[in-house]
Amino acid sequence: MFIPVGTNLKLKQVPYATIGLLLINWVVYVFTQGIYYKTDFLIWRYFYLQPGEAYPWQLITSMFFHGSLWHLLGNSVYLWIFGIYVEDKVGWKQYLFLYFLTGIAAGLIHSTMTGLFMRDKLMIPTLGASGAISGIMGVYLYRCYYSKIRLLLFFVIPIQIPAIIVLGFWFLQDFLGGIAAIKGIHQNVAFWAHVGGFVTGLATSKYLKYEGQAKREKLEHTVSTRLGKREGYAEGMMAAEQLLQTDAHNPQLHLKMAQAKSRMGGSEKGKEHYQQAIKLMLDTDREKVAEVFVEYWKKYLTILEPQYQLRMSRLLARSGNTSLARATLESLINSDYPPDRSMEAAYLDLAKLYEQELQQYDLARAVYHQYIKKFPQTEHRTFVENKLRLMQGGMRL
Amino acid sequence: MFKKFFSSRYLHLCLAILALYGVTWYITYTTEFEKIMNRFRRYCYADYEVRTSKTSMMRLKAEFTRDQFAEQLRSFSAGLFDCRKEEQVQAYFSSRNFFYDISKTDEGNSYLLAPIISSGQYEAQIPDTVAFRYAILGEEEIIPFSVYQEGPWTSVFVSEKNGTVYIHTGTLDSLLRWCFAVLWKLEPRTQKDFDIDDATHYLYRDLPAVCQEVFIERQFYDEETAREYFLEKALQSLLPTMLAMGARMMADKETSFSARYKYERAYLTGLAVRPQYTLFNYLVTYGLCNTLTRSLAVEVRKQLRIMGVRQINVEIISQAAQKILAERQDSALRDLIEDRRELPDFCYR
Repeated sequence: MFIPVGTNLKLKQVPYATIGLLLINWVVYVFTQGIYYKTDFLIWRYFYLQPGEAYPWQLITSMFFHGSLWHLLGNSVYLWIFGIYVEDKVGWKQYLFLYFLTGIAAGLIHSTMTGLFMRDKLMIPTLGASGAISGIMGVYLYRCYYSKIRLLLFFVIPIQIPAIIVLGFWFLQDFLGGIAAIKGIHQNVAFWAHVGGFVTGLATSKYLKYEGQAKREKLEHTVSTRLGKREGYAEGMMAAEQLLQTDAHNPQLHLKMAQAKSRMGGSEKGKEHYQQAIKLMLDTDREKVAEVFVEYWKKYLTILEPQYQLRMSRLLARSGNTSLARATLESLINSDYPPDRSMEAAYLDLAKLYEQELQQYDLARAVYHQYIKKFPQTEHRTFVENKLRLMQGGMRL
Repeated sequence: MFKKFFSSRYLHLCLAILALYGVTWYITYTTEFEKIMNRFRRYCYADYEVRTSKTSMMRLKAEFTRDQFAEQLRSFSAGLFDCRKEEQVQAYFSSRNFFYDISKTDEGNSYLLAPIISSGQYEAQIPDTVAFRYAILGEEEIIPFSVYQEGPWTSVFVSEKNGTVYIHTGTLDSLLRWCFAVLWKLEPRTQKDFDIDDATHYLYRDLPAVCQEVFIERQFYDEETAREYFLEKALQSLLPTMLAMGARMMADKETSFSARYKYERAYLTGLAVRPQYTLFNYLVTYGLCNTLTRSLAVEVRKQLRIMGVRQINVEIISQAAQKILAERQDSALRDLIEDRRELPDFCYR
C-alpha cells in the first residue's frame, strides 16, 4: 500500500559508501544467477547464515546474498532511501562501521531468538542485507527523527509522513511478525533480524551520543525550513534562538534571525543580529559581507562600531562600491564615537577616497582640515600638512 | 595512547558484539545428536525430492543435494553408524529411544523416524485375548513418503513391526490441536456450545470431564498448560481404542492379508471393542479419513445414513463396526476389497 521514495532532507555529498554497498549486492546477485548447482550448494552451505552450524564469517557473507530479484530490489530501495542520509550525517567510515556492526548484531539476534524459541529452525539458512539495513534505519531514526519520509500511497499518491511514525509502524510490523514466528506461524522472513538490527541501530546511536548532533540538526532544519516562511515563523524563531545559545558565533544564523526580525520593518533586535552577522562575516565570509551590509544599510542606515565600520568601508571601496564607502565613512566621522585610532583612520580613508577615487579635491582638503583640527597631536600631521600644501598648489601627490 | 584506545566507544561496541556472539554460540549450540538428526532428516527429504523430480536437471540437483547431505551425515556420524546400513541406523536411533523404519520399493525409499514416548506390554480382548508389546510414538521427525507427498490423510493410528505395535499419536495430534484452538478461543459455556463442528461435538462426548475443566470452568489460565493437559488427557482416553486396533493387527500378523485389509480390520475391531466418537468421526469425515479406509468409511456412512449426529452413540458405533467386520469375514468379498484397494508405498503408518 505504501512505498517509500525519499525523505525531505537535503544531501550534502555523494554517498559513495552506499553506492558501493549496492553495487556489491547487485554484482553478487548477478553472478550467482544460473550458477552451477554444485557451487550453489556450496554457497548455500558456507556463505548463508545457519544459526545451528554457523561459521563466524557467515554473519558478514550472508549480508551480500539475496534470494530473489524482489528481495534485492526491496532492500536496495530501503538502503538507498535511508543509507545515503546516514552516510551524509556520520561520514562514510562511521557509516560502514554501523552497517556491519548492526548487520552482525542482527544475524546474532536472529540466531539467538531461533535458538531460544524456534529450535526446529536452527538449520534453516538466512540471507540478505535487511538486518544491516534495519540497523541503518534505526540510526536514521535516531539522527533524523525530525525528518519526513516521502511515500507513495497506493503506489501513486505522494504523501509525507514523519519518520518517527513510518519507522515506528515498520518496527511494530516486524515485531509482530517475530511474535507470530515464535508462535509457529511459518513465514520466510527473518523478522528478528530486522528487529535486532533496528534496536542495535538505535542503541548504538545512543551510545555514540548522536543525540546532540541530532537535536542541533533538528533546530537547523527548522530554521532553514520555517524561518523564512509565513507558516511556522515563531517555531523557526525559537529554534534559531535555541541554536544561538550554543552557537553564538554563527554568522548565517544571525543573518537569518536579522532577516526574519526585520521582515516587517526595522527592529532593534534585527539591527543587532545584522551587526553581529556582519562583524562575524568580516572574518569568515568576506565575499558575501558587502552584500549583507548593503541589505543592512538599506534597512537601518546606521553604521557599525568604528573598528568594524572602517574595515567594512574599506571592503566596500575595494569592491567598487565607492559611494556607499564614502557615505559610511562620512557617517562615521560625523558620529558621536570617541576619537580613537579607527576614527583617525576613517578621516584619512575618506580623504583618500575623495582624492583618488572621486577626484573631489576640495572635499578631500576639507576632510584633511577637519582631521588636523580633530587630531592636532596626530603622528600623521606632517604628512597631512604636506598633502594640503601640495593640493593648494594644484598638485596631486 | 593506551587509555585512548581502551576508552574508545567503537572498541566497546566491538566488544559488545563479541559478547553477543558468545551468548548466541551458547544458545544455538547443537549437540552431535541434533546435528545427525538434522542431516539425516535433510538426507531423507532430499531422497524424497529425487523421487518427485520432474525433469532430469531437477533430479540431478536433488541427487547432488542428497549426496552432499549424505557426505555431511557421514562426517558427523563417523564411528557411530553407516547411513547406508539399515540395521546400524536402526540400532543408533533405538539406543536413543527413537523408532526408525525404512521401506524400500522400486520407486524409492520411504522413511519414518519418531521418538518413543512410552512402551510396555498390553493385553486386549478382541474378543480373543491378545498380548503384545507396544510403543507410543510422538511427533515424527521424518514423515513417510506417502505423507510427504499426499498429505496427512495417509497417516495411520497403528502399525506393527517386528512383533511390536506402534501407536502413532501424531495422526490425531493436529485434529486435537485444532479442536483445542477453536474451543479455547470461542470459550464455550455449555455443552451446546461444543456443537460448532462434528469434531468438537464428538470430542465433548468422549471427554466431558476434561472439556468441562479446560473450556467451561477454565481451570487453566495459561493456554500452553491447558493445551498440554488437554492433549495428554485426550490421548489417554483414545489410547484403549488404538491399543485394541493394535491387538487386531498383532493377531493378523501371520495372515496373508494385504496391509490395507489388515488396517481396516484393526480399525473396525477398535471401534467394535472400545468404541470412541472421535475415532469414529475421524473415519467417517471426508477431510480426515485415511486413504486406506476410504471405502470402509463409505460403508459405515451407508450403515448409519438415516441417523443424525445426536442419535449416534457408542453402542451403535460398536454394532455397526461388528456388522461390517463380520461381513468382511466373507472371503469372496475380502478378495474383492483387496484386489481393488492395494496401494503402493505403505510404510507402517
